[in-house]
Amino acid sequence: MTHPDELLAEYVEGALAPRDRAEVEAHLEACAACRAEVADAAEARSALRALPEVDEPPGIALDVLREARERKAAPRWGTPLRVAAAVVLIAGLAGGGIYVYGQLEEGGDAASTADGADAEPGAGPEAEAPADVDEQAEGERAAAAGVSYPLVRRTGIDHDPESVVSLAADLRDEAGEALDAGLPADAFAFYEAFPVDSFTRVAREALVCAGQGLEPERSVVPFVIEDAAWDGEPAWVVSYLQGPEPTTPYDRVQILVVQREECRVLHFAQQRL
Amino acid sequence: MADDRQLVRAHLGGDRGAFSTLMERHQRRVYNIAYRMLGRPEDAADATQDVFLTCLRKLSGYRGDSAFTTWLHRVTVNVCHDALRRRSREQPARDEDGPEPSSRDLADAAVAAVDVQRALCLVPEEFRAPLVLHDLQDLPYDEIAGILGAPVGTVKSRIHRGRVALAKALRGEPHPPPGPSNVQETM
Repeated sequence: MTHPDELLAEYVEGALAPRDRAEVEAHLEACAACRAEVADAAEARSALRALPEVDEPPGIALDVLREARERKAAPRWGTPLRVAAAVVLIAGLAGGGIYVYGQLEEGGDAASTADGADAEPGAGPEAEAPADVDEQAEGERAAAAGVSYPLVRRTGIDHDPESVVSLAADLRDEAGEALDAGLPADAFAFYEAFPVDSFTRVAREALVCAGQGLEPERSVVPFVIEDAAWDGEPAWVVSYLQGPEPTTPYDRVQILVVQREECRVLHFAQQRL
Repeated sequence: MADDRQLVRAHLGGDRGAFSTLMERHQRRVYNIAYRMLGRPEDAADATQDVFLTCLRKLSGYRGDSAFTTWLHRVTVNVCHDALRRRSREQPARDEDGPEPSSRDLADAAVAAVDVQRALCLVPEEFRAPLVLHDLQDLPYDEIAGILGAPVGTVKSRIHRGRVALAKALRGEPHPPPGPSNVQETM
């Protein structure tokens, strides 16, 4: 027997035209299951309609505007990375070589940041966690259904230009493995599989701070985010995969180190895949 | 008074107050949808914020070919689904979604409301959204079809299935058995 499911919703509301109504009633005569469902549905509808409207808490709109302003204040893709990318283009990427660019924003700090970082990787105050532990800050990221990106890791490593160089090489290898294991091969496919709304709160916080990777129309794909340090200061070490176009395979991994509190860009590195 | 599309245009044109006006106008409904979908005030407030932040980000992609409210409610439903997905990932064992069971000391109407909300949180998500939009928000079937990107007939039968699931949840039947229409396809 076919059941007139699509008509039953309106039947319960008394909203059917006479002919449809007659059809439903003829069916109900013969079908005890639908009679029971109609009784249930009527009861449920009246219970729902008795629910009161609730008052929204005050201040939501203000919070939204404040949050939006903060995001805007964070450094954007338009500034540091594009500058760096242009430099890379001019210099040309020597086969498989790494490009490192220290302190992209104010030239005055560049030397001190890039050259003065003498801490060994792993020698920082919070460096007990070895690099290869790769503790996932949010253990549920590796869901049963497979890994979801971006990956967030609380490593606590106190990075410096040298450690970023080796991180870049590690990420190049890891990206290769991830692609073999099913990481979507281009930005377009990535955002189909992992829409921005599916990113964890920590990931979003880091990406907002780094100023990119939250807009699916971009060709930039957030890959691994380290909750780490730079010269003793808490920092996000955010890595991105990027291809020439959103629909072409990634050809490089970029690493952006941003200071956590003020989202200042501290360091940038790029590695060919 | 400016309509929604005029406000969207004004916002995109740089009018700083236009988006605030849009939020003031729509936040109550967005919050109520989120509250009924998620069952917890704090989650509903977070979701409402997420909805408007998403709008700010994506508003330039709004083409104006559907009503602004259709677009806004689509964002709302998506944000709620994401929140529910996150919740099930973060607290897989947690069974008591929604408000605590009602205490009989409350006034009858309040008791009923808490029980209904609790039962609503047990209705499968794909039925819950159209149920909230139609039976609580009074949106017509065709608008809900636009919001959910589903045919009108599908929306109607999901609403019916949702009501039946809700009635069973209200009676404390944990997993509603398939209704006649679920069975029909295999017969």
